[in-house]
This record gives sequence, C-alpha cells and structure tokens, in this order.
Amino acid sequence: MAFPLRRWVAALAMILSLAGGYWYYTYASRLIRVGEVRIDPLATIDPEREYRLVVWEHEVPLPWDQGAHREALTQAIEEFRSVWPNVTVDLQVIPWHADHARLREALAAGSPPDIYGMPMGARLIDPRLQIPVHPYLSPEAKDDLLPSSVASLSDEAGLWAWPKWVQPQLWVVREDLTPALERGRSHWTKSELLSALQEAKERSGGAPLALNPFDASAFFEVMVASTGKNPIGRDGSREWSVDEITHGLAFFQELIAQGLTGRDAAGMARRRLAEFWNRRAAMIGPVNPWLLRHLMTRGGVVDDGAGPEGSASHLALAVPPPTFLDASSRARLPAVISGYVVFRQQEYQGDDHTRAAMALAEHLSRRLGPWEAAHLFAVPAHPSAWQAWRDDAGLPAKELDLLVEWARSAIGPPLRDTFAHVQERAIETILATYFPKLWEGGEPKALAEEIAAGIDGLRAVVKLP
Amino acid sequence: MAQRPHIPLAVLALFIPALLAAAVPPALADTLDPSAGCGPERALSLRSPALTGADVIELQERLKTLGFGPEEIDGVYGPETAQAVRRFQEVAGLVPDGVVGPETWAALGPEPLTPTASPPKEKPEGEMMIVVDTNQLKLTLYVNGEPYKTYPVAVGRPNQFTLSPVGEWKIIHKSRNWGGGFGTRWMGLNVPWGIYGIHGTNKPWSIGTRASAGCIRMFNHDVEELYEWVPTGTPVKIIGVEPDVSFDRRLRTGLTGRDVVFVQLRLQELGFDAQGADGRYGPNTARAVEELQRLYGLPVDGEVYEDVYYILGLK
Repeated sequence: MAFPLRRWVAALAMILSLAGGYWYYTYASRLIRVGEVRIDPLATIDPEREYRLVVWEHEVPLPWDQGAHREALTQAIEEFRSVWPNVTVDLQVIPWHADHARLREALAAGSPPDIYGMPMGARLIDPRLQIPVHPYLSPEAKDDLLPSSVASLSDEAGLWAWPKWVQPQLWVVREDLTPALERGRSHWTKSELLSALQEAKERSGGAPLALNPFDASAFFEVMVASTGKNPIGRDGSREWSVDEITHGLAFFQELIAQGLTGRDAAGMARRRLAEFWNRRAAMIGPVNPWLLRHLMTRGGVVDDGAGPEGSASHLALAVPPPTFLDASSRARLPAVISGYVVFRQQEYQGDDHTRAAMALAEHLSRRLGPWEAAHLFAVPAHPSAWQAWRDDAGLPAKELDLLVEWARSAIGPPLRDTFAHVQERAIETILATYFPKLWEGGEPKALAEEIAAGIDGLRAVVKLP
Repeated sequence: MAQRPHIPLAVLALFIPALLAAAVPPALADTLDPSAGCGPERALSLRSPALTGADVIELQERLKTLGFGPEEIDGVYGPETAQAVRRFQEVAGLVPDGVVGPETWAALGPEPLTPTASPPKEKPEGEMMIVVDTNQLKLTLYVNGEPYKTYPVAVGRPNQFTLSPVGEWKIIHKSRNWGGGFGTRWMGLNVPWGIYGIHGTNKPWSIGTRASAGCIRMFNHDVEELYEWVPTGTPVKIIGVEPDVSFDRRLRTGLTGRDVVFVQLRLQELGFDAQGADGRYGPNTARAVEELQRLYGLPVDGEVYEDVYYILGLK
C-alpha cells in the first residue's frame, strides 16, 4: 500500500516539531538572556580549562581586628581554588567608602569584573551585563536563603545577587534606664515608647533620646519602621505620602517639645555617647554597625574574650528604631542586604566561565557571609550557617534570636541601582536638609511638603554619577 | 702647643636656650612650655629661697649612692645637701664651695670605659629610625626596619612633668659639644610643647635609670656614634611610660599638645592613618578623624569632640 506523500510530509513535520519542542524544553527554555547573549546555566566548569576570574570586593574595615577581613577573604578564595585549581582569582579590594563609580566606568567600557562584592547593599546595576543568579541555585540552595534577603534582591525577572547577610538598622538603649523598653524590644507602641522615655528622663535627669539630627538616617529609619516603605519604591515612584512624612516629623517634634530629646541639635549630635555612658541618655540613634559594635562592646554585651563567661553586664542593648504608630506591631525594619553580583563582559567569555564565576560568588557568599555577619551585627543569608555564626558572634542567645527575628522582617532599599541611588541622594540631601529644621522650630506639615517636593525633584533630575 | 679657644661657660649657658629654641619651628615657638623638657644645666648652690628640681634630686641621689648623704631625697638644695656637696668636693680634690658646676658633676662619676651597647658596627646604609623604649630604658636604631644597634639610655623621671614624650618625632637639629648636662652631642626633637632631645651627659651613672627631665640621655661615646649615623629628619619613636593626660578640650587643626599625640596614636592603632603622632593637629590628623567619624556615623567635621574621644577609647 502506497503511503501518500502528504502523509509523509505531515509525519516529518510532526517529528520535527516534537524534536523542536524537546530541544526547547531541554535546552532553549533554560537559557538566560543577558543583553545579546544567551547563557546556559547548566554549563559546567571544564577542569581542563584555565579560568581567570576578576573579583572586586569592598573592604569591610574592622578597627578592632585590622587585616582580618582581607585574611578571611583570601582564605575563602584559597578554599575555592583548592577545589578548582584551574581557576585563578584576580582580587582587587576597594576602599570601604568608595562608591560604584569605577564599576560604572567598567560597565560602560564593557569590561566589568566577574564578581562585584556589595557589602553595603547589593543592587541590579546593569541588566545588559549583570547575570541573574536564580538559574544557578540548586533546589536545596533556594531553600537555604532568608526570604527577606531574596525578596529584597529580586524582581519579576529573578534574583540578581548572591545574598550574603541581612543587617537590620538598629538603635541602642541603656538597660538600666529603660526597663520597659527592654521588655518590649520587638514591639512597643508610640505611647509606650513615650512613657518609657519619660520614666528614663525622671531617672536620669537628661534628655533620654540622644539623636544625631544631622544624620537623616534617624528619620528614614523611623519612617520605614512605621510605614514599611522606602521613600523610593521599586519602580522609582515616591512611596511616602506627605501625610506620612508629616506624621513622622510630628513624632520627632513631640519628642523635642516634651524634652525627651535634646533641643541643641549640634551639641547633642556630638555628645550622644557621652550622655549615654554618663547615664543621662537612655536611647541612642541612629546607630550604624560600627557604632553598634562600640556600644555593645563597651556595654558588655559582646563577649570579647576579656572577661569570664557570662560576665557581660548587658548595659547597652540593641533595639529596632522606634515607630510613630500606636499599633502594637511594626511594619518593616530597614536593613542592608549584602551580596555578590556577577557580570559578563561585553566580549563574552563563555558559559563555563560564567558558571565558574557563579560558583565562586556562591562560595564567597556562604563562606564570608557568616564571618562578616558575626562582626557587623548582621544575620547570614543562609540559615544553614546560623549555628557557626551564633558560635562566632560573641552575643548572648537572646540577642541573636532577636537579630534573626528582626532580619526576617527586613526591607532593603530599591533593587535597581538608579532608584537606590535616588533614595541615597534623597536621604543625604533632602532629608538631611529638612529634618534638622525641626530643631529650629520648623512645622512638620510645611517641612513634609518640602521633603516630598524635593524627592520628586530628585526623581526627575538625578542621573547616575 | 697652641691654646684652644676657650668659650666661658657662662657665655655658653646664655646661648644654649637660644640654640635649643632654634630647634623648634617658629610657628610653634609660642606653644612651648618653658618648664617642659630639658633646659640648660644650671649651677646648684645654697640660696634663698632654696633651689629645687629634678637636677637637685639627681644630685642628692648620686651623693647618697657615693656615701655622702643627704639622708632625705627631697629635691631641695638645703644646708644638708650643701654640706654633702662640700664633703664630696673635698674628697674629690675640688674647691669645697658647695657650688655644683660642670667640674663637680664630672667628678661625681666618670663614663665607663667598656662599651655598654652592642658591639660597634660600620655606619649603616638604608632607611633609619630610632625607637626609645622608656620601659626597657633602651634606644634601638633600626635600619630598613631591622634592629641594628641598641644603646642603654636614661629617660625622664616618672612624674607627670618629666616623663619622656611618648610619640613619633623627628630629629630636627644636631649640634656638637654644648658640654655640661648635654654631653658631647645634641639631637633635638620636634616635640611641640617643650625642648627635648637625644644627647650625651656629664652624669654617666644615670644611664639605665629614669633621671632626666624628659630628654633621652646616652653615654657620650654612644651618642657620638649615633650622631654620625643618623641624619636630620630621622624618625624617633618614643614608647613606654605614658603620662596622665586629660582629654577635655576640643581638638582641631592648629592645636598641639600631649592630648594630640594620644589621639594620633589611637587613630593609628585603629587603622586611621594620621601620618604620625607628633602632637600637631594638622590636615593629616583631621583627615584621619573625618574617616573615623564617617565610619562610626558621627558628625563629620575633622575635630575631636567628646564622642570621638569615646570611640577612640580615651574616655
């Protein structure tokens, strides 16, 4: 029986479409498009090939343990190379205070490093050359990531950095002056806070909240803790309404009016530690990780090995920034989400090269994450590393538990570099200009309108440096 | 034999303060505390009111060691001390006038003939640095970062006003043969609040003790060797016994003092490069302070205010 030609053609077409479907299902669908390049994330590292990976890492200065960070970094790289001796790592350490200008220049030239460490907050910098990392995550690795870190470093296209640690922004209280605050370190209402500060004022005779009005982080942190929103949203829009800003400013105005924080902004900004250690101030903010370390060490919370175990006096305790809410729970906690981003170069070096870069970035995030977190009051992004972190941090179990709790409700700045940059500028210029005016008698409503207009203006004009 | 020109000691004594002051940059001259550091040697005698000071203590201690008294080391040149001096001068074949000048000091103890430092070596080549350890009472010359030779020294007496100045200094002036208490060589340091230097001595017995008014004393033969080896500008780091310093004033560019030294030392310990600890609050110190302020989230103005002292661990 003759098989009609038409049937042959139909059968061939079916076979071809099945083969195409199979090809798409098994290969093409997993390719990641980065700029004009499609990358196969399942490519493997060729043990016979020599790879050279360029790593730019920001230094993490630890004045109490100088050189230790670079040593830990070098050691982590050596550990990787013991598994992959065919990988050479060109490590360049960038000063801690350097911005990302050099990276942006390298991106513009099409020659960024393979891995860029962003300890002060990972970002999506350039989707044409930055490679998403989620296709490289094994199912186990996906489960071993703190959800708040993934949420902050992801958008609809996926996860854009290997999370390293989450650092909630904290303030500090004196345990002996604020027993009420100590009991409610996770949740307290505005009225509870005011009453505790009033009590501390009666005990100490000083203004119990020692602020640095010229560091607008104080206002920013209270706003995020209260509203759960950054000033700049993930899409670049202004998230804080004029009403919310007014509420935030009115909260500080009330603190000033009741004598719960100092009226002399310049003097208070420079005497916060003096007031705190002389038992005149009960609460201090804002407190970055280095200042926190100073306070915790001097306050006896950090066990620096100098005294017998359990000798810590626990005089200074970390607390979340206060909120201006009268609800019993806070919205979110502002945080730094540290991580490694991976780039391809304009002249693409191959899927196996990318795979090697991803492997090293993941290794560094897992290896250095717990170590840095233990020094900087942060929580490693990998829960599997928490036990090692707990052992190294030198903090009492309760403090570590609270840190984890706070890290779970953390919210990082906007993911996209442009918007994160606008937010940074908004804090450093707009908030830093108008927030101190409260101490000069500025009215919250008027200041809030200025702040909102300033942020909108920034959104319109700020270009990346 | 031709007679060597002889400068009367009194004339020399008139010039020594001027020469010492010349070792200090003019801009800092007005910050000098005339009572701090090593002044020119004065003649000691019984006067009214009685002379007092570190030199009197040193004299009393030496006389007592040699068995001439006085019983009490009180730093006051009173009748008992004058009597002890006269007794010593008689035994030493000097005019027993009770006046302690260069001849009496010289007779109180000769310099040892045997070397007290590690064996002499050739003049070293390379980058030199001097470290004076006031705990160990030793001065070590480092060449290219390696210890080259160590000498015994006398350092400042252990009281608030005569301790040797801990800090990082430079030799800014070199002179020969001032004689008297400064011995045969003088290398002045750029300490901003007083006149300090490394010098020889006419009290060799004091080497290995805390006897000076803050200067670093060496045996004459040692200081002569060191003098030939180290050029002007050689760094001199003095470590060891630290004075009690109060940290009450706000430090800013242009100020000098012991408190500045300790701020600079502490900045360096914490990894903020103040480019030395010379007691002068200059642009490098201000930059280091700014970096600390930025890292710890303090108001950034490059000045040492109260919270900066706390971070530095000085309060």
